[in-house]
Amino acid sequence: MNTWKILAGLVLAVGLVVWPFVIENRFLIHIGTMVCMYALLALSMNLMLRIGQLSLAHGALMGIGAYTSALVMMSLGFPFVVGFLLSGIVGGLVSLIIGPILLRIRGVYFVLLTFAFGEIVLLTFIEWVDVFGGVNGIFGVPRAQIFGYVIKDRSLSYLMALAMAAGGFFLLRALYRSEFGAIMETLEDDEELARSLGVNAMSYRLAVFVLSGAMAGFAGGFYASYFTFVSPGEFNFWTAVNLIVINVLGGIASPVGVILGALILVPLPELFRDAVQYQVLFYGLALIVFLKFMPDGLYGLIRKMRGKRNDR
Amino acid sequence: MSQLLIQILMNGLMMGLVYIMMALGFTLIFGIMRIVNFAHGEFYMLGAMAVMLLFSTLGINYFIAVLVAALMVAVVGMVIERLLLRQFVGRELNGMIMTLAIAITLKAGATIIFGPQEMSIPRPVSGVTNIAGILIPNDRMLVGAIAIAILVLFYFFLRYARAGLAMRAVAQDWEAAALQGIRPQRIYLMSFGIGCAMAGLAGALMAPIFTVSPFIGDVPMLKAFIVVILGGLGSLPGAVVGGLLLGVVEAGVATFINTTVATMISFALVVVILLFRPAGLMGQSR
Amino acid sequence: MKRSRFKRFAATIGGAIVALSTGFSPALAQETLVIGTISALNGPGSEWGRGVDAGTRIAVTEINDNGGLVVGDTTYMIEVKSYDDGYKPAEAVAAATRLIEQDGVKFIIGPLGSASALAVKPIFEEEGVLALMNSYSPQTLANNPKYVYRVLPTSVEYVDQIVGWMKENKSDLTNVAVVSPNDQTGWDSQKTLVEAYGEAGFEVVGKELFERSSVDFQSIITRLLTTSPDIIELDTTPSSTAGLIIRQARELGFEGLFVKIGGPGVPAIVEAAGKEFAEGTIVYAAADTSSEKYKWMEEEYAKIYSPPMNAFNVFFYDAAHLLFASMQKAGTITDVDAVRDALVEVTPFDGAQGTLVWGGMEDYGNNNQLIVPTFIGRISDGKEEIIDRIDAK
Repeated sequence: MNTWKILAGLVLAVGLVVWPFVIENRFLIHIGTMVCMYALLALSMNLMLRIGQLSLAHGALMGIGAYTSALVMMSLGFPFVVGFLLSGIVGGLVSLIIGPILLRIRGVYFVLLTFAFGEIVLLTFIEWVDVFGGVNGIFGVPRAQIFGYVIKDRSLSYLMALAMAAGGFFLLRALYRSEFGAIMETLEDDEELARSLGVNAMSYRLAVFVLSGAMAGFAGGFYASYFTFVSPGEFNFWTAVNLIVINVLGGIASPVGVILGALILVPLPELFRDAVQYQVLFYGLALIVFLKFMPDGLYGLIRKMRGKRNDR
Repeated sequence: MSQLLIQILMNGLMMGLVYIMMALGFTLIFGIMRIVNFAHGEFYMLGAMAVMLLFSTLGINYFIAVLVAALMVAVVGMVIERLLLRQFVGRELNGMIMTLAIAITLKAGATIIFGPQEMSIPRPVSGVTNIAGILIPNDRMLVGAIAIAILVLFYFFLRYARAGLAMRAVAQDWEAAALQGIRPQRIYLMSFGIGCAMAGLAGALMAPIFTVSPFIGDVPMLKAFIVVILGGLGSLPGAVVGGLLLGVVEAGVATFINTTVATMISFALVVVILLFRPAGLMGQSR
Repeated sequence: MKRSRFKRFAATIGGAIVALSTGFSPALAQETLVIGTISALNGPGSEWGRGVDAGTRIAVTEINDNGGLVVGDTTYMIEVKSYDDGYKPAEAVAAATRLIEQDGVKFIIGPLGSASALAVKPIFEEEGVLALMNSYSPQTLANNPKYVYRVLPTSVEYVDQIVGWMKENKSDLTNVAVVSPNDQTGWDSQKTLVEAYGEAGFEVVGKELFERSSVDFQSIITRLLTTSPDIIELDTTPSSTAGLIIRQARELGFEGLFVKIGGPGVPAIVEAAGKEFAEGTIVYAAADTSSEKYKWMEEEYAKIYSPPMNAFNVFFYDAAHLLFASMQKAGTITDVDAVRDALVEVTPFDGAQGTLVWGGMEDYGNNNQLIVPTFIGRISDGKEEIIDRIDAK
């Protein structure tokens, strides 16, 4: 049985890497890249949802990563590698700084706090024109460059995004299966129990938040060099909402569900390009249906259909 | 200068009254159902759309149109509560996401039906009243007056009407209330209906003053949030105090600096309150 | 059992691959010419965005109804693929990518809006796709683009003309306050306006920027009025919002003149401000709305989108015709460079309102800017009355 799984996994992996070189349609590759980028973002949101804290700040955290990378490269002249690394580091750093303040609060208030924080960050991007370029943002951000080689080819950008998404996926999978993951679960279900067992709940929640922020930051760094522009409108509260939708649709319980959700939701706007309003309507209705009837998301549905097996 | 200050004060109070109406509905829903209604802004928008249909298109008397619009929105709200939200009472996280989904759907639906453009509807009253050099547009005065009337009505309802008392009982302790023979289901339905009706009323009243489009609910939603946090989630007097406070502070900062800074400051206030006194200025700590 | 299932499976996959590959082949078939439009068709900016699409389509329908576009010895039916970018740069990028990759388009009209335009400019330059677009940002024509042309006049083009007219005809007024939206377009146009007014001898007593989504201007107006302006210049404020500002300012006691040298849209202004308050406002008019041609265009527009039509429609109608004329002159629809070069050769061009020429060398270092006639309008009794006209040279 296991050999089949490994084989299937290998085929999948090779397929994922190779297909853009076979089907040389740059539009499809663009979609694929977006799926990977949003998968990474959705995974970062998944971390927060796992500990029961819905964050509406993730759009802003992505934005912080994006602007950091852009500014580091353009104003300070550092190469992409530095910019990209910093995008994740700064994202995590910001989470580290505001985490202890925000995470003291639970439930509804936390959500509202992250919302307020996100809005303040956004308003700063808009108001502080000299640094952030105001409402229209910054154009001409340098493309990704590794060891002097500029990544302009779409297929290569895709590979980069794929690497990021895969990294996030495997990281989370390992995390959830580890002791850390088990503690994360107790944080959501019964924090008092965890505490009584000597677990420092606060530091675990902070660690999750920092990782989450870093992942969002990295996604932002990628965004900046892929699109070669950053503008505040791309990092608002709706971005965070999209990530939540992906999680709900795909299923919060497993990283696989998140990937599924991204795979389905990200290309969707392209199907609707002729009738954008219907797309949003569809979004909303789908979300309602899922919340009401399939709270475990697609992944939960698939598992139910396959019969309950105890793998995660 | 003092005249300017008083003018600013009046501007702020007028807006504040509208904020209060939005906030009251929002906080009512939260206080009783523990659901953060992200769709609240969309009910405001629906109220404006309804008034546009009734008053502008069908030519019905403005005041009747406003009333009917509020009722229509209440009905829509109650249907949504019954079908979609009932199961999320008390489940804050999923309830929030559900109201988000509802918000998205309502806005998209409105965009498809009415189109995305901004529309103007005729004004029921126009002109300006000059009180000792302070200018108050008449339409805003009308809105302010109606808002005060609604507030007073609502206060008496909660204080003396059986349904009102029942609502307060459920807000405090639904199990005890149930033991007293009050059916929480009914109360949830009524609260959501009243909450939405208030949002719809605010939208209907403000429709002639600004413009009408599927997107007009976003800003009032934001303001409702801020007011309710300032005043305390679930606290009705808090909504009143918070509304007035926000209106005046905003008017002041906006006039002397600019509107973006005013918004930033209100958000900063939100953060500060949530951190140090999450129950808000007037709420009780849990 | 297993064998036949596998066969069916393989057949399905094979069929899917065939279907997909035919779907992805270039859309430039023998007798159809496919062009694309990108603009905001819904939501914010759509009052102008729809003009991009509708203007193009009206021109295309005109040609198709007359038998098609004759280039060399082939006649082509023109097809328009329209994509909505929601006024957002990332959407514009996706739309452009799709048009170029999926639909094989080499000529694009749009986008409209600085953020979108600047985001796709590098794509057009890299891919060699000819784009006739609009954006008020001076960056649009920076670095002498080879494939990006601007077909709408910006403040730079008509501000001096109109302010000059104001100086001549409204010489009793001296103080001006400028109100603009707080975004790239607003900053650029405000700068241009302030300079122009200053040089013409007016005194600029106030400069305000407001958030695009604002509806409540009491604070801004209250502040503005303390400087006692004679003129409030509304710049590139969107029309309904401009109407709101007019109304709120009048209610707070302003009795001076309103001027709007930026983005046309009198019907929306009047609707939001009310006839009485809007009376006398001087506006930059993109078109002579009383002309036969304009009325004809409005009827055609109503077949595509719900009215009212915005005057920007005229520019894109002209741009489309200009594009097709260039194709005819160049004798090709596939050689983008040749068509591009022909753009200059077909001017002076007879547009819907008057003569069109390319210009802009002084301001931009290249002639990628279309110069069009300028009209000066006045709001009388709720309608736009054209009171003067300045032709393109």
